[in-house]
Amino acid sequence: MTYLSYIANKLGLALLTLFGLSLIIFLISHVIPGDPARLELGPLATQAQVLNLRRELGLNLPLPVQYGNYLWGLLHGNFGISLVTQHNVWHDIATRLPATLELVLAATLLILVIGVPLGALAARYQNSWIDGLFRLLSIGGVVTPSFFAGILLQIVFGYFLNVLPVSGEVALGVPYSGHPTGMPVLDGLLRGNWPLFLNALRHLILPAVSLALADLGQVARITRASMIDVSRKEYVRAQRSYGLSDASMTFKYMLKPSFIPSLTLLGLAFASLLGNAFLVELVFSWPGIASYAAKAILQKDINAVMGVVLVFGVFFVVTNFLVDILAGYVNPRLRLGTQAEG
Amino acid sequence: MGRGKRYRTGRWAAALSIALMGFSASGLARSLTLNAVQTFGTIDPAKMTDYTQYLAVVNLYDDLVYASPSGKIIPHLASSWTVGDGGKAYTFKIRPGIRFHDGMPLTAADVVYSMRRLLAIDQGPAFLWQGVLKPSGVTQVGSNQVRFTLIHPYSPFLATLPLLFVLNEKQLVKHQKSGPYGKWGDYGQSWLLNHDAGSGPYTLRTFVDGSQVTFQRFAGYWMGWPKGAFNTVNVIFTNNDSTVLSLARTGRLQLTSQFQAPETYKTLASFPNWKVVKAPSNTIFYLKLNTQKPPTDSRRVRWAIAYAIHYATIQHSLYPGAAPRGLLAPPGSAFSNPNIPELHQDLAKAKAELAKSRYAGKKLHITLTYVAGTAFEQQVALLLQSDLAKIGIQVSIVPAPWNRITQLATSKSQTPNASEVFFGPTYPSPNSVFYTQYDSNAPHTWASMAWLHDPQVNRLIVQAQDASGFAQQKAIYDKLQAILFRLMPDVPLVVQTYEYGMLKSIHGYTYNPIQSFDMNFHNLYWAP
Repeated sequence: MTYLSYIANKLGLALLTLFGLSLIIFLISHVIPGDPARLELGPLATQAQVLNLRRELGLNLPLPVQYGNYLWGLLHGNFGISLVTQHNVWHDIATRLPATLELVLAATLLILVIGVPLGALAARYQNSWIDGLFRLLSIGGVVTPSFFAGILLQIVFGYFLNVLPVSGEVALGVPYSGHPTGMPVLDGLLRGNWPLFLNALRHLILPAVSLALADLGQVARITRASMIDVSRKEYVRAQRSYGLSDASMTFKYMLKPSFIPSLTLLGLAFASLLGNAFLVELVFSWPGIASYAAKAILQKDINAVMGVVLVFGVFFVVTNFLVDILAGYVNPRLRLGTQAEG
Repeated sequence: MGRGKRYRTGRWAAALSIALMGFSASGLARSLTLNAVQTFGTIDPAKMTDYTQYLAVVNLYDDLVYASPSGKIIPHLASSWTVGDGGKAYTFKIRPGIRFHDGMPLTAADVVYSMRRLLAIDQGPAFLWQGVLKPSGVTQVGSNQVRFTLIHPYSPFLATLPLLFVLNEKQLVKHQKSGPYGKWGDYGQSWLLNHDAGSGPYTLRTFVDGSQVTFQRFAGYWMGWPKGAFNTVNVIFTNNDSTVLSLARTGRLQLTSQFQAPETYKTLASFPNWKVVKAPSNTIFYLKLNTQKPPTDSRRVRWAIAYAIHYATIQHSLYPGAAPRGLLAPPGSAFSNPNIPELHQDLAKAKAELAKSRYAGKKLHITLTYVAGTAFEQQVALLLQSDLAKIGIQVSIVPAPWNRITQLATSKSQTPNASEVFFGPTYPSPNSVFYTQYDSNAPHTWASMAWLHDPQVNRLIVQAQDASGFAQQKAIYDKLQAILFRLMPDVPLVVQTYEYGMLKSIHGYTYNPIQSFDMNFHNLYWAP
């Protein structure tokens, strides 16, 4: 019951956050300079044309009415029409979001399968040259902006070595209909279409690595620190005294409790990767949500901007919510603490 | 020595890579891939407004008439035309035997439908005919002629018609949905979001929401095809120079956009199989001076500014391009006034003009804006600040996003004293340059940031619109250019040069003065 109230409370807060987000973005969209009607019609359109379009779009109505209309549409599943594409914004987002999600999922996977073992390895060989090299690389990863890493990787692997593609999610000659998921790597796997799978995988490598680098370094550092902390615990010393092997100690008894902070960070990283994916997508001409959102912002396409921000907001809120619940299950002390507070 | 060896090794690697690229490219001899810097928002000829949209439309559709590289209007869908009723009635004879992509014949009725549709939707290029043509003034005459009856004589009308693209009426009627245009429903707008209804040299093979686009050659194109024409044209969307270079070097890109960084073109030119094609355009980079705001409301102060600028630095270093002579480009074009000289820095004359101005002896201060984030515009702003300091004018530089500049431009008091702006005519007529920028009755936009209010200028612009025949128009435009040169509302800094990187085996690039009409893929062909 207490735990249910906790979840209900979290859900209420999440909805409130999304409402606040929509209000703030709506206001910001209207405050930033530029008239959407003018931008849509081009700089040389007459004032009469601009006024007509403003009327059609409802931009002549008072702001509270415009916001109310937007919310009413939203409650009915209508995100409005994009000025740039003339499509329903939900259709635009649904078309482009899978590509972004594929990129973010691949980056998260890289963080998980490389960052955590790397951190464990560095902790195991603490203060050795392996640890030194690890620290150098992880700090490098953390301080390098994703877009810069992307450009560097492009120059090395695309321009000089010519071993990996630097643009798009599949090569132009490879037929891909976007079905069933809109993620070509996954679709290639699901359909057993190996040429598509391999081609899409090659396209995915550089953008995913660029996107993953910063959080990979961070997760690895947290795992290392946490494992060093755990290695000093009494129960670890006791188990070591039983003569358990190093590998068994590291991966069976130390990694699991050390993983909790990394898991929390990983959950939050998944959400923040969505934001970082913007620049990476632009660098690699990835057909995700970034180019759509960038054009929407420049063209002051209010419905599109609102739609993209709200969808991203939902991802952030849901991810945070899931991380809270998951952390409660993984760490009994957190759960008990919550119950005690309740 | 070591460095030299590495350099040579690099050159060998590059040569090998380029050789492989050449091989792969020749294997795909009939496929062309180019990059565009932004996705296609719309491909509806009634809604197009920007460079990328025109690029799609000019390849998917045919216009009634076309423009030659010099801007002369030449027959296209219309094989001939006559002008009557004192310059109010334009009658066009439609070429027989032209077919749309679906195989239906293109008729005069399609032309009538296309113009009426454009005027009804009232977006895109519709502003060109506001107050000039009503939908009822577009009629079919006989079986193969179309007549446009204007509200009043308007000599630039013919020059605006390359922006009228003809759509397949039957196909659109078949696909139209309910909408605000009575029996025409939505005029097929929703269908045209992802389809074309044209007769142009290419059809749409793939069009996924403007971000994945492939054009397919239309075998039945009425103008025929040059040997080596491209069967498919793929468009990649990126403005990232490192991506463009990587794609070019690995043979995945054969033609670049004209919006790459100067360093990118230099690198492309160093590739053995690549060339950089340059063409002077009709677009000028201006310093627009607000003639309604002190101290630039003084003609002498404006001339002092014009004399103070070191043009050679801009034209040779900061933004390489030709030196303008007056307000029409490229220099020496048909309507240019040959008596207008190039501007050169002359600080003595600048100081003399200031001394004769009503602000003589006063400490002068002006604001200067440019598009924030544009490196060369920032460099030009700093140069201007330094140049004007030499004659005692203090410059405050206020960079602003383009959206903000377009908003400032709608208010006389908010428009800065000086603004760095590119302007190129929308259609190949001096009217597009003069009316849009200097007629005080035109809509106030970023193009008219000089806020010129001069009755004589207004009168001459209208006279030129009413004039018939080249000689009469030329005489009026010569006079107008002389007056504008004397008033100096805008200081022309440099003529923009179009630059494209492309494989040496690609031929046929032809400059065109309208929007992105130079990217008509029908002109391009492969010849190793």
